[in-house]
Amino acid sequence: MPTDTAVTTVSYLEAIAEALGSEMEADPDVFLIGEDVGQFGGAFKVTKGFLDRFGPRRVVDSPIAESGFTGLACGAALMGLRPVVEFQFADFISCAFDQIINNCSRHHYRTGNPIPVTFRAPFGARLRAGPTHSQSVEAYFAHVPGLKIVAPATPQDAAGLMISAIRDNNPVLYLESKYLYRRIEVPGPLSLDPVPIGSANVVREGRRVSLLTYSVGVHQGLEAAEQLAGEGISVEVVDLRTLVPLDVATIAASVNKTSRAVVLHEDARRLGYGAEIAATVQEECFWRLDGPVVRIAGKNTPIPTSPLLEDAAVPQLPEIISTLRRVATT
Amino acid sequence: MSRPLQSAMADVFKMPKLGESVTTGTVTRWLKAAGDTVDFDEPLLEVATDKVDSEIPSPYSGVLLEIMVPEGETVEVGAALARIGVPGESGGPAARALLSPIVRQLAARHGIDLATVQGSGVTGRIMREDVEAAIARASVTPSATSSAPPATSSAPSATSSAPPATSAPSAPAVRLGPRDEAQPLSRMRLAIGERMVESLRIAPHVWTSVEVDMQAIEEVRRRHKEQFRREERTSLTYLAFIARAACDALRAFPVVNSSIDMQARTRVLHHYVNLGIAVDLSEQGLVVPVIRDADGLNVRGLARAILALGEAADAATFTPDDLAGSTFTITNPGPFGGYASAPIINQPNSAILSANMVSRRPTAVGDAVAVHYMTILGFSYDHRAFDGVTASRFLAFLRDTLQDRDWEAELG
Amino acid sequence: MAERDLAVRMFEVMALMRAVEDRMVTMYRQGELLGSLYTGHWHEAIAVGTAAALRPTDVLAPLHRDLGAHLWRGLEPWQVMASFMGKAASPTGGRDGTLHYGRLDLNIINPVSHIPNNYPVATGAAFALKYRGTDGVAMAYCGDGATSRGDFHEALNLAAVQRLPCVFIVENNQYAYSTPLTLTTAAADFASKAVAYGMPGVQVDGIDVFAVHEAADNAVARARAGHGPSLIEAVTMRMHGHAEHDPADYVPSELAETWAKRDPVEECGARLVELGFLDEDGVAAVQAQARKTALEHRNKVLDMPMPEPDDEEGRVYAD
Repeated sequence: MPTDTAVTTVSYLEAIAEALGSEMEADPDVFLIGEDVGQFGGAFKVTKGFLDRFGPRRVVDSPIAESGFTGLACGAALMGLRPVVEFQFADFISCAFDQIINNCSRHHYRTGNPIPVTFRAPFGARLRAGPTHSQSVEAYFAHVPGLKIVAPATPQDAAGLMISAIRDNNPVLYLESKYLYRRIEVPGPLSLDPVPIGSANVVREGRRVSLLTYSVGVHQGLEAAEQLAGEGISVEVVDLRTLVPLDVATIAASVNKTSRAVVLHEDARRLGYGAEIAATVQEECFWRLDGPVVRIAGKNTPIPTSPLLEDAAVPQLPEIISTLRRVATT
Repeated sequence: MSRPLQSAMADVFKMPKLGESVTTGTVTRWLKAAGDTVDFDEPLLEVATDKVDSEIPSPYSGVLLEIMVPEGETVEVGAALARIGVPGESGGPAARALLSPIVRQLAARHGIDLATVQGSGVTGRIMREDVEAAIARASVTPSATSSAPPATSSAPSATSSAPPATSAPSAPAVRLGPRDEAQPLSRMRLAIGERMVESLRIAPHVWTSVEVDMQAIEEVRRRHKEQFRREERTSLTYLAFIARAACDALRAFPVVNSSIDMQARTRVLHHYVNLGIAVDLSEQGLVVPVIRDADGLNVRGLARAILALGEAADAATFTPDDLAGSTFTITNPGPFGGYASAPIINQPNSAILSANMVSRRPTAVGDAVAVHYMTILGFSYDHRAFDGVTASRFLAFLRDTLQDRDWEAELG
Repeated sequence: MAERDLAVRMFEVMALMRAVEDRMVTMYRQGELLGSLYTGHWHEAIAVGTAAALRPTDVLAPLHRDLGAHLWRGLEPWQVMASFMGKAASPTGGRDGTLHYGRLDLNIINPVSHIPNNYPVATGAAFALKYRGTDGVAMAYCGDGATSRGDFHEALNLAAVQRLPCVFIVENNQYAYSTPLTLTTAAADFASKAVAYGMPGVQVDGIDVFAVHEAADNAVARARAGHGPSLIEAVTMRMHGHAEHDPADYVPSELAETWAKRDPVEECGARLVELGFLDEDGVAAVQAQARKTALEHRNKVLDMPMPEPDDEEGRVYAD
């Protein structure tokens, strides 16, 4: 990363806000609805200043009614608007499960009518926020036909995928890592070109083992890869970026090259999204594998609040390093 | 303990690393004796470290050929513990059960005899890289590849268009003096002149008007002006309110929203309002673009549509379709200060409304005189289509709507 | 529409709804439908009276007892039959079926079974109509049973707070499947629930199409003028089972008999005669024509092809 202090930096959170704002400027059909998104600027301040910029018609402070405003967004989308729905925490999306599953996601298959909604869901652990403010929800929704899911790891992808999500004619679940919000910064200015949905990115090339991951896992993976490089173990880190539809070609190309695959995510292990990735790798790359596909994932527990408990519940760097080392050398 | 069984090919099982910081392990018990058959994953021995006691499953299938570390002895991680293989057989592949798909595939494809390959895995397993190294040593060359020629592109084709035809109207003679200047009429002036003359010729025009108290609208406008401008990038004009009220009135009086066809002897009622708005083109002429289905729009929607017309006029991007199909027209000299006006009907409409200046004037409110924002709406109609009573009731409806409607509700 | 034309048109669509549903009951018994059949006997006045208060550009979110609302908008009877048969030419191409046959090109939102899931969706349609600067209105329907779910509350509250141009119709037909009103609500009626949301609520006789139409007209005018949502409770009886497989033997016979005397289609016909809009022969002719139309549509749909699997996963997402 350049150390030039004259270059202003853009955080992951700022990237989301910038992309969202630019799409709202560009397309009058885009509006935002959620709890505390207007006057308060959102629980994490992603939409700070949006109310002044776009007015209350386009930045709608909703009562606490996840199912209600999700249904509202679906109806508005059927009429051709492009709603961006903010769930204050991904944990609360369960209150809107019925609308998303039964109404929104299967609407296009049932009727042929596009239903372009973006669901923003700040997700994930590591903030000592406990069992109902730390959940990863991708596995619930990845099972549902009709919904796309993106989970950017970098400010640039956060911006590009936000733009693509809003422009997509399907419901898109946009999983934004609240852990990364203010921890990850890149030098500006940000590109506001869309990042295509369904396209993974090899963020570090390697030869010995492929680490398939997304969101926070990408940053852990890059750190692990750096350390293992010192031991002569070359790790390729693949940032999936989109979970649905999965970029099988990029994954297969990587694993076919390295013959070893480790899947990493923070969500609980049992039937986590890693199970789908591992199964896909097995189907696509079996004859090129040099060992079993291994998963690193959260424990099958709710996310505890207290620091030592939470740290033990989600993947940490030492486990990632030792697992990659074992798979690469055993 | 017997002598080790002889075998040309065997896997060496080494002391595994049983923890991040563990460097040694103690063999506490062998669960198999030399010569026993061992299956993959079958418990082979027990190992104690300073952290944990573990039962170690065999990573190989075969016969336990040799125990190399006796019970009770402590050795370094990675030290050879035992050999497992096929007794008396030479050249067989090592530890078949642990040959991974890629290892088998590479060996088969490149004709590598795995018996000759040394495994570099922590447990002695043959890994992909070991086979690749063996392939390299065997100097196996890859096959050649072919490439496709690049594709070519074709050039686009050109199109042509015919010039439009014109016709000239008749004009009375004008005497030209030394202080007069004859300007050639633009095509637009010629067209406007022709249409106005034609409208006056075919339609018996009647002019009437109504005075409207715009005070309530002015107050709503004032309250919403800033917010509206921010949201819509246009000002909240009187015209949008008048257009909205006119649409309501046209729904209530369908004959005002009609066209006369004398040849067919019919009056065509339009069950929709395509609202023509006369737009000035920098005093060089006038066009009447049409807001389609204007009766489905509220004040906000009409303001947006009017803005779009103005922008299209500025950019001169109207198409003939944008200027056709009106069912009723509003002309808006108001911003330029006209007090009252008698517009000419835009054919084939049967009426036209003119919105004049809104200004503060004294008016009776109850028994008192108050100074309110007032205006005169002018209305010309085709007497063939309807009569004075209808016109008056239409205007009264329009006035009452403008004065009494809850406009606040429209803008919230 | 002139008063007479409107009245006659409402009667025609009510008669057609009745005839099509009677025909489909026969089709159900003859094994021509895929699964069960949900009908709206005694809901004709509600479906037609409400839909008739709207313009074609307004949005409808009806449910399974509201065939008349679809017919008013122009859905063809054979398309409804095709839906219950899973035919390729059904509004969903056989991807969905039975009562899920709304057509967005007619501004009708296709419902799912999770009632009143369409209530929040209708608020969204109303939001979009307002957002776009139109004076359009959205109208949502549900039964007494669906008022118990959270979406009912969330939708009414959101619509009221956002002052959305939305009209909510509660078809109180006494039963939610087998659950009677007494196990659905402890309140005396549903109309009064509107008060808690800060919107007007009225109760109307759901058998009387003119009363329903007037209530809907008022609510629609209010919404169109920007005054926000209203709730209309239309009281009727579900005269068939929840679906045709349900004999509804849990309904006390006196209750069924009382309501049987009040057939909305017959009452509407009698009213037209009273008003001098049609004579008795004219009324009978409308009903005969409706039955003929229903049979023609059944004959037309019977031999239509069933859909075959065709890139089904490719249809899941829009381009």
